[in-house]
Amino acid sequence: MAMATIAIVDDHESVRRAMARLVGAYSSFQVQTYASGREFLDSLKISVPNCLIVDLRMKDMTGLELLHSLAGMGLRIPTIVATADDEPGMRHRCKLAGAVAFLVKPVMSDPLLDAIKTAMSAPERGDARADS
Amino acid sequence: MTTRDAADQSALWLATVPPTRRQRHLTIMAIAVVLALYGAAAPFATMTSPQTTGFVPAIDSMIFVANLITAIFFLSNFSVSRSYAILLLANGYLFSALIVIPHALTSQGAFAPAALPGARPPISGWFYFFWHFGFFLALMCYAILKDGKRLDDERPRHSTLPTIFWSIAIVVSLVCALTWGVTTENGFLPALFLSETNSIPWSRYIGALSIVTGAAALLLLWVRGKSILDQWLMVTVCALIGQILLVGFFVPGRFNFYFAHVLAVASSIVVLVALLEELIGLHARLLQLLGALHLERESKLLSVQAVASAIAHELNQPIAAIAMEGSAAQRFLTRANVEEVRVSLNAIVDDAARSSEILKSIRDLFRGDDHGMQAVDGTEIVLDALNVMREELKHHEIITQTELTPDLPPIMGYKVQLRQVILNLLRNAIEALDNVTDRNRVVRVGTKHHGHGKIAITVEDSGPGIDPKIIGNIFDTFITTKASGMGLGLSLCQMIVKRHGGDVLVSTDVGIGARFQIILPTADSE
Repeated sequence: MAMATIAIVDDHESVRRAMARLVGAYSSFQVQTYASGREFLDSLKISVPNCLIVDLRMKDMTGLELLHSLAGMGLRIPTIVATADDEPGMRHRCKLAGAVAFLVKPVMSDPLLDAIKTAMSAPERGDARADS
Repeated sequence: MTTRDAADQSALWLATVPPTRRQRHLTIMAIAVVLALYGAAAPFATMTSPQTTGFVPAIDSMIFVANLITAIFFLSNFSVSRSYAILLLANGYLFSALIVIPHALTSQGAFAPAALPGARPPISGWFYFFWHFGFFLALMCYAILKDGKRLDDERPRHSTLPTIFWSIAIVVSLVCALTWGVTTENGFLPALFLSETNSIPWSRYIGALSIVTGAAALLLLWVRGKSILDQWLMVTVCALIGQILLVGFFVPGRFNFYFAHVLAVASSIVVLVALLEELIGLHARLLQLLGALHLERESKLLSVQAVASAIAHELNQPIAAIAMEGSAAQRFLTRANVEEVRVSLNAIVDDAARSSEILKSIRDLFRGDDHGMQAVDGTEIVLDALNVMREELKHHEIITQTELTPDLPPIMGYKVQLRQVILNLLRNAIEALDNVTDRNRVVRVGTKHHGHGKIAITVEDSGPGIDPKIIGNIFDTFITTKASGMGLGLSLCQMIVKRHGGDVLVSTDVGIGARFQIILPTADSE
């Protein structure tokens, strides 16, 4: 079986790179980064990652919109939302859209690794059970 | 002293608001109409018409009500403005309201028997004299005192109620004393009129005294008066002088007696109506000001929230990157992977530098501008901003077109902030054009006149345009759906422009481009 992959979608280059390095430093997952939701959706034609870490505020397509299009495609990728603004109600909306974890930036290593662990153990691409 | 300052500054008192051109014309017209009517009545002076019992009491009761309302109006004004001049004016009106009571009671045919043989000659003429003379005297004192003392000068924050009470008591006592003096059997005053319309010869001197006092009051109001109130008081004085002339000086006939009284009522009611109308106008203006104040407070609040939100949003990204690189570096250290630690530390230093840049730019944006508001040229600001962005525009292969109008009227504003707005819009345009590969990347910047007293600065791009779904709330700080600070940038732009009394308009043709237009009032527009 191929090595598990984690996709990171964030339009801030420094954040994207730092998160990739953090995940790389603490785990043996293969990390792929994308600057936009559109770029990530295009990549799905080639491979589907085991876990997705996505920012909410992005150009072209927000993180929530990306979650909805994934659901529309019938893809259930365990997703971690990492966002700078913890708007009221947003956490709930992300969970409804299928996110397994909701992290507020700046993200520290422990909660991120815990979230990745949760995501990886989530029933893969099966039912849309939301983690509470 | 705060009350006085507030009263001085507010410019919302009828007694202090200077009349507008229109109001001045209106009062001059009112005076002209009153004088013309009296003039027109003069030829009919000798005409007699049948006596109507109860005419004088009916007229008097109308005058009583009108003057009493005016007195109450000024007394309540005094309790706020605390001006002794207004108190005197109020008591002048109170006096003329009260003195018409004995005038009505003693006039012939109403309550007193008409021309009974052996009866005392009519005495109501005295009250007629007191009424006008007292009122003119009060107006004179008002005109002299009007820029003078206030209650606060002696007793700051003292209640106005005792002062009002004592002034009313004095006026009531005065009216009672005068009534007693005229009506008692051994009264100290002789009769003025042989009958209601027939005066004895020397009564004309009494009438002349009234007219001279009235003329003096008119002159004082003319010289010292500056307010809307003073204008209407002049109308009243003119009407009353005309009335005395008609009743006291021309050969007394019943026709002009009626005519003069009717006009006196009409003019005193007209003045009351005019005062009320002005008052309502002032009230409306006050409400408008309150609304504007509320709006200003709200926009200030919004600006605080926007700034806080801008700082939080802009700084969160580099801080997030620093935190994660730091965590990664800790991990690499335990593995003694020095090369990776070095990469992380370099990234941390870069992100810290970016944070400090962000802080600096936000500080620049909201610094009160050291030079303060100044007259600035819209075209010059645009050229400045284009200069700053020239390299970046070139780097993104963008063609810059300009349609600038030279010699635009200047706007009053903060130069740095306005330049930041243009810079922000240019950066947005560059960002939008980054996705364009199938056609020319064009940014069009223009300045021009925008109707009367306004200029428009336009920044257009040939990018993909703005999603119609979000164009409605593109300026809303709290409904940002776009990333990398674009939404916030626009909300800051709008805030700055609004602080300059202008507005930012946005329009888009999806697939063709977006267009931002900044409308700003020119310095001479207000």
